[in-house]
Amino acid sequence: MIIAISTDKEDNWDQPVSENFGRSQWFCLYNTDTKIVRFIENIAGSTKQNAGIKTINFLLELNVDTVLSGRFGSITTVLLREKNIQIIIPQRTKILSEIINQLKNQKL
Amino acid sequence: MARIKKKRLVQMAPCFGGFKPFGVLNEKQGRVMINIEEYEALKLCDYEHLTQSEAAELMNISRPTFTRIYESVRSKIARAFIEGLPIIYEGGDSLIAEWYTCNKCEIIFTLKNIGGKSCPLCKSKEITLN
Repeated sequence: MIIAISTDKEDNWDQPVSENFGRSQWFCLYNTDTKIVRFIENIAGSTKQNAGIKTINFLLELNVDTVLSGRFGSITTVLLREKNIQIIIPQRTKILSEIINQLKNQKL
Repeated sequence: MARIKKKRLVQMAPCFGGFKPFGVLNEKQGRVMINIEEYEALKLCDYEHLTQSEAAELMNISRPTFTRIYESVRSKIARAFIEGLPIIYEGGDSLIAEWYTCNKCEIIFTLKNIGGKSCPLCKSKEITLN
């Protein structure tokens, strides 16, 4: 299972989760099976319109199962539900390393 | 018999109760009630900048109905602003989409069609709907 976490910067573990889903600059991808973490630039983030939909298509190509971000738009939320992708909205105070650690420590 | 009102679909209910004016010396009687579907209409149109027909489709209602709800919320907000009345989010005839909250890590999430009902971060089974 691959989890995509929206972030504003690359390779920074102390940053908070980005407040935007479609317009976030980077995604931190965590694979729960291999436990590999990598950052990937959101190529759909700078488009003028429908950034949310384009970002979903971009993430679907990467086989993402779960997305985690501060806020999702309405169209994005509906589309994610249709595509059966799990949406997670964390508390504002949570930083990236906390979430990754929580995912790493969970017992499957 | 009157026709049954169609439930308006709301993606997410507001996470706070309303607004209060400041600098009002003698608190006036009365307040403005905004219901959940009116909040959603304003959010879709003026916050997410969708067109009225796109927003109506998302809320599962017709465009004329959407326009009516939207005009109603605009006039209510204007009244609250001009008369200095508090705004309260309450009531309405809406269906709120399914969201779950984990009691341990306080995150909000959706569940997949398949798979168990547990928190995706801590795997706790103590989750509540909406």
